Amino acid sequence: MNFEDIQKQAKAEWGHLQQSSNPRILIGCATCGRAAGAQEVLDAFKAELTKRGVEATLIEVGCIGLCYTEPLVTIYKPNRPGVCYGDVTPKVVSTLIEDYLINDDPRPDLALGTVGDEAIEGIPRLFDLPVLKPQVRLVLRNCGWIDPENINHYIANGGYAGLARALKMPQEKIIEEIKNSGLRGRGGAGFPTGRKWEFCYRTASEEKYLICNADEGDPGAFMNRSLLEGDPHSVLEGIVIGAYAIGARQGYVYCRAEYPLALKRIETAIGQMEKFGLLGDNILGSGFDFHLKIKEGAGAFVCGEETALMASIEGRRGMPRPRPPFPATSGLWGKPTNINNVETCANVSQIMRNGWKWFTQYGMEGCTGTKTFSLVGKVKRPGLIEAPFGITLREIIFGIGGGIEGDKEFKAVQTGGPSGGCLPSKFLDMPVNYETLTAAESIMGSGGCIVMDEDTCVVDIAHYFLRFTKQESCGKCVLCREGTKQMVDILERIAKGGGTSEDIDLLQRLGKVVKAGSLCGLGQTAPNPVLTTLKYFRDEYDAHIYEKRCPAKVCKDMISYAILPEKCVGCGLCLRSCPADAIRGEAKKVHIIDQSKCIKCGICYDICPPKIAAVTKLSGAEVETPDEPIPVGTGGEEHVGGY
Amino acid sequence: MSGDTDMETIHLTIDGKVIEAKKGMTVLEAALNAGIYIPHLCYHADLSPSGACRLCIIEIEKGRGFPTSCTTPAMDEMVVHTDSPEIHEIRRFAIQLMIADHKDDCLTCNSNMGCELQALAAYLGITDLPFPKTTERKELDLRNPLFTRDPNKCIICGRCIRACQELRGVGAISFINRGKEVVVGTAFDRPLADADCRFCLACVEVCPTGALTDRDMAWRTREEREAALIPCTHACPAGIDIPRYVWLIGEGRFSEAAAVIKEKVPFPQVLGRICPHPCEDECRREKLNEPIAIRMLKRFATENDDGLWKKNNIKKPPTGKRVAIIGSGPAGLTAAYYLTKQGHSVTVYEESSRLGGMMAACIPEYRLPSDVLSAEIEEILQIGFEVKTDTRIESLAPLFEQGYDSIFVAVGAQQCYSLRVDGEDSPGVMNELSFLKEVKLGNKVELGSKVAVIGGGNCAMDVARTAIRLDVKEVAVLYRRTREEMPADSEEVDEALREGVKFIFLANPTKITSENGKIKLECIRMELGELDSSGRRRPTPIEGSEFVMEFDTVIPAIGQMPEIPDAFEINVERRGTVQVDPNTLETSRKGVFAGGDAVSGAATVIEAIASGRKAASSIDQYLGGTGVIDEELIPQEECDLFLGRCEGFSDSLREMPNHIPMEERLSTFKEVELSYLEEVAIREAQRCLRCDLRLEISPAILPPLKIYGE
Ligand SMILES: Cc1cc2nc3c(=O)[nH]c(=O)nc-3n(C[C@H](O)[C@H](O)[C@H](O)COP(=O)(O)O)c2cc1C
Ligand code: SF4
Repeated sequence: MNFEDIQKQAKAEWGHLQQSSNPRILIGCATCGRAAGAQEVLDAFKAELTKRGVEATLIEVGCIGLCYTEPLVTIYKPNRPGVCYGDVTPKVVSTLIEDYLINDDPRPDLALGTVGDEAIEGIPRLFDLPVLKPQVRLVLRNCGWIDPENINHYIANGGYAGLARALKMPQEKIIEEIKNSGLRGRGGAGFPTGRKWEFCYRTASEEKYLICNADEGDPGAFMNRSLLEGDPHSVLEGIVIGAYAIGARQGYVYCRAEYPLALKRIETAIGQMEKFGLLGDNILGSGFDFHLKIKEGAGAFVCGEETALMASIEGRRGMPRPRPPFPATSGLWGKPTNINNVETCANVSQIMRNGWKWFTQYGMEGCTGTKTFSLVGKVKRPGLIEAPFGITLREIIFGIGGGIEGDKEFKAVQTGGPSGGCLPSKFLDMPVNYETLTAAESIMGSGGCIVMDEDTCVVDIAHYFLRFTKQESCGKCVLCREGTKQMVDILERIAKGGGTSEDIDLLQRLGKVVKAGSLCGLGQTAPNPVLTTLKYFRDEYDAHIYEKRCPAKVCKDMISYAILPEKCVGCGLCLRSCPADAIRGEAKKVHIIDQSKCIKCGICYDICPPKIAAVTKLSGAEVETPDEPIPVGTGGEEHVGGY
Repeated sequence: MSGDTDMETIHLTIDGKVIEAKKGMTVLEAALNAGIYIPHLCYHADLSPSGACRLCIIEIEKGRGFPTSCTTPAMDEMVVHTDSPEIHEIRRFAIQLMIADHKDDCLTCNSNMGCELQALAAYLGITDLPFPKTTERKELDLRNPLFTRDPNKCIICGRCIRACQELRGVGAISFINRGKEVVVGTAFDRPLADADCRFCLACVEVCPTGALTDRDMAWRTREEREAALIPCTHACPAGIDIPRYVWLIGEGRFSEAAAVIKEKVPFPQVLGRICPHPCEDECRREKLNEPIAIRMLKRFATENDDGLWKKNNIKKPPTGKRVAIIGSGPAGLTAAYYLTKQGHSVTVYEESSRLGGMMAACIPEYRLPSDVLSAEIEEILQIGFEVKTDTRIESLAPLFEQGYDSIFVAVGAQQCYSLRVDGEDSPGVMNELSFLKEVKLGNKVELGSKVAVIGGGNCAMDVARTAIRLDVKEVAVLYRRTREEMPADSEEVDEALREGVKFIFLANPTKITSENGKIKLECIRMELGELDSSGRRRPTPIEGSEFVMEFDTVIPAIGQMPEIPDAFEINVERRGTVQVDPNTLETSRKGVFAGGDAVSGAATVIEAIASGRKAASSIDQYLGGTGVIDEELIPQEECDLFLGRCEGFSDSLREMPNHIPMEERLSTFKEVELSYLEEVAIREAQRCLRCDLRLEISPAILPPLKIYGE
């Protein structure tokens, strides 16, 4: 079958689905959706539809990124726009079937937004919602809207047209096209993809390899997973185009074993491609042969580093090695190898389909296109987002993310995963790209975005991230292995109140040395959280060291809990829930915490009803409390305010 | 790594100095080659670079960051700086971080003054640590007998892993765990033996610190080190290159193996049968399970020799000098052989009618068949020297008068020690040497039915095992200490026991009486006391424990001493041995040298051969030659460092030789031990740990000495 016929067939199938008289129900069933209960929703739909004898087509789709309101369901009825519903539960399912499917009431009160040209009274357009409006979805365009296990859905939406076009072009022209598009690697370093391809293409060798890096080891990152689950073909198409451009006949997708659904989707997609002649020998009759294998990674963060990844594929321990030689000259099994990130590959498909000019309309000078981010932490609307380069952190956090949870104060945002820097509010209006983040001493990384509020202690957070990189260090080079260990120890010391003024200097010097001297990107970025917090939040370190005070009241050794006598109503709730028997008191008497017994678990603080809020957390301050339980309302007028 | 195809010369500037390098070299190699030292620890000249220690970082003009010079290819016109404040800071921290995690008991560490970490700390001027030292201690790994692993001193440079993988192709060890928990170990922490370790100790050789150290070893000089590391060759009095010939046998190259042996000894066939193999006692494999059967391999190689060595066997042109050698035992013939090769004209005088000394006259046929000895002597004679048998020399003066320039006295030790007990001359008490000689000559010796042999050495074993092959009922060996202290080879004792010889330990004869053709042997019980000068426990009689046994024949075999005619006019020691300069073997009389048992007292063939070699060298020098008798019968070849993986290597047991059936042993004098079959010999040879390969590994390059006060 030639590609036109394949396309025709796919479009027919897609059109048939659109025109069907049966309603279509799309359920977001990616890993995130499932975690939120999508499977139960799906089951409820199946059961309820059968029970009521309603005919409808159920389609499991990927994620549209609105994690905060999952499970998500979109219902298409003939001659109506799609209506997207959030926070769907099995109970909501029966309501929707009853009200919308049977009685044709779209229930605007439950709907998030409409999808499509037409509108429905009382329901906003989905893409006009503040969470989606600033977004530009190129890479994620199909996620949540097509069946990821149906290759025809992908093809009908323009899929593989880029490959078909590429296969008719000379290799140099493709490389030229990618170079012109300005596409830069989305795996972290932002190296121009076209140039990387060119190096590999120019290295003469019978055998070459192309590897797609789907390791995604940063905790909290799930962009690549989501893309692979929601639209695997968009990635695979880019892989085949890249392979053709550099002249590789064998490729690998290196995906962590913790991504079972993504792995399954890739496997299914590969099978379909082979059936359609899009993979294997003589792809689309072009004479180009390319085979693709899946390689499961054991889940070490460092295995995402390209040289470690190649060692892992070769069956060796996943440890980085110095470059040169670069993979483009000597990579997998010593052969020229090109490694690209999942998102990079997906961008390639788009560029080859729409042309480089189209691509450059997005983003900014030197940094074209879009980037996906996983927006997590203390934001109101966490999720998977895609925005053009040049968007500001403010637009991401306060626009798309809806601001800080509980309307607390923004403190910092960490970009780039566990080894990114923590940027304070002064960077909120900085347009985001590789260079600006680096200048601010952070990194783009793979697009992690962790938002922190005023209750976050920077010493604690630096310690937390560094402990992660320390554990994930492969242990090969001394600066990363031993240096991170020493830095973690110093931070622990500071958090415990044992810090000295020399510690700051030592942290700073050590951090710089580890950054400058480590072998691979892991060590070279690991000190970022420490160095940036030292730079932007130095006063907090000083408070820990000189005043033995944790301003955010997080570091256990520097805080204490007290019951304010003027507020306590003597209900006894705290007394009953204290696991350490540290609270004394009787009904209607002011309760007292015995500091020598208190283990600082904070249970009393959490359990004291917000209306009363008699338990207070202190650091570097004290409140006067009675020695013995006294009747409520009799004392403690002078509250020596805490921090 | 040096590229061998493209040897194009390039020029780069390092620290302002233009240096020449070959294309394909790394910057570090180019610098070291040009005498510019760049600190490094995980780099090793024989191993692939790793970039782990971060010490060899450099800056390259127009380049970014601090690449490691061990992995950066040297390029034409490259401008490199090996030091800067930033680089210095990184290096210092790297070393300090290592030290913080490194147990420091430097003064008592096996690697003291040889430790590269120590040297670098000194070189970089580290005098303090900004971090607390790790206090928690990991357990010492003593699970293998040859080396100690102290994980507390490991700096995770990975050299051992690379050596095991890259040099040896074994791959028994690797990094385990991640981050700070990384250690070097075997998969699942199995003992090394179970990870198919070959115990070649390449890992120990390349370890820069005291993390891997040889167990129970110390040395001060290079020679001491080599002796300790290759103990077999060192233990061989003649210094045969044992690892080399054992390896050649393992490779199936038997003639070459034989040539290697022949480089040091003219009697390989004899040694292959009767050498007491001090080498095997020192074999490092013994610590693992059982030593390599070096003697049996020697026998196998020489039996399968097609004479390849002869191609390179050279004889120097005649010098016109003449040497007389008195005695045709192993010492005399060895000296004759090498002196002849040096171009001297040699005459050997032998008082009996047969050449070979004790080898021909006394060593029992079942251990050393006469035809084997004769053939070997035949071959030696082909080098071309004169022999005069049935000629006893009583005085040296006539020889000098005949025009000999030098004389070598190698008359052996022919006089048996006496028991020094009453009744020693009674009928039925026999001299051990005459007994062995008579039997060897095929003469009938009447022993009666019960025979006692007194003594615990190899000679006593020869007597006992010879006696049991004659028409007797019982042969008992009396020894005043226990089996453990017996100087005889334990194989000999085993075989004697197997053949039915009885042993009576801790018994010493006190009196012999003869009555009606029977001998009453009165003995006293002994007990072992304090250690004596030989390191064995001294036997002392237990008072009142006398007892009597009856025998038909008693043969004392407690050793022999030389008997030097007074007319030789050379000084002798108290025990009748010839007094010589230990370095030259020259006697008190000018031009007269002595060796073999005549100097040492009754000893072994291999010692006699070694002594003959030494004498040959000294006499050659005395006669104006170089004294160099070492030869290369096959060319030395570049060693292949690769061993490869071999399942179950460390468990493989020593191959035991087959023996002829017991009935035949007891009724004939047929040679008891059978040679190895080819596959058995190869298997045995391949058990060798190849300790010698360690010396082929390049030494580490230490920082230039720090001069104090500069
Ligand atoms: C510690 C570490 C972890 C990394 N993890 C990933 C990863 O999970 N996924 C990825 O695509 N790139 C990862 N990278 C970056 C890769 O080394 C490599 O630069 C990237 O795959 C190249 O693809 P690109 O050019 O398309 O960005 C990691 C790098 C480091 C140093
Ligand atoms: S920087 Fe860390 S992760 Fe990278 S090679 Fe060094 S020890 Fe391994």
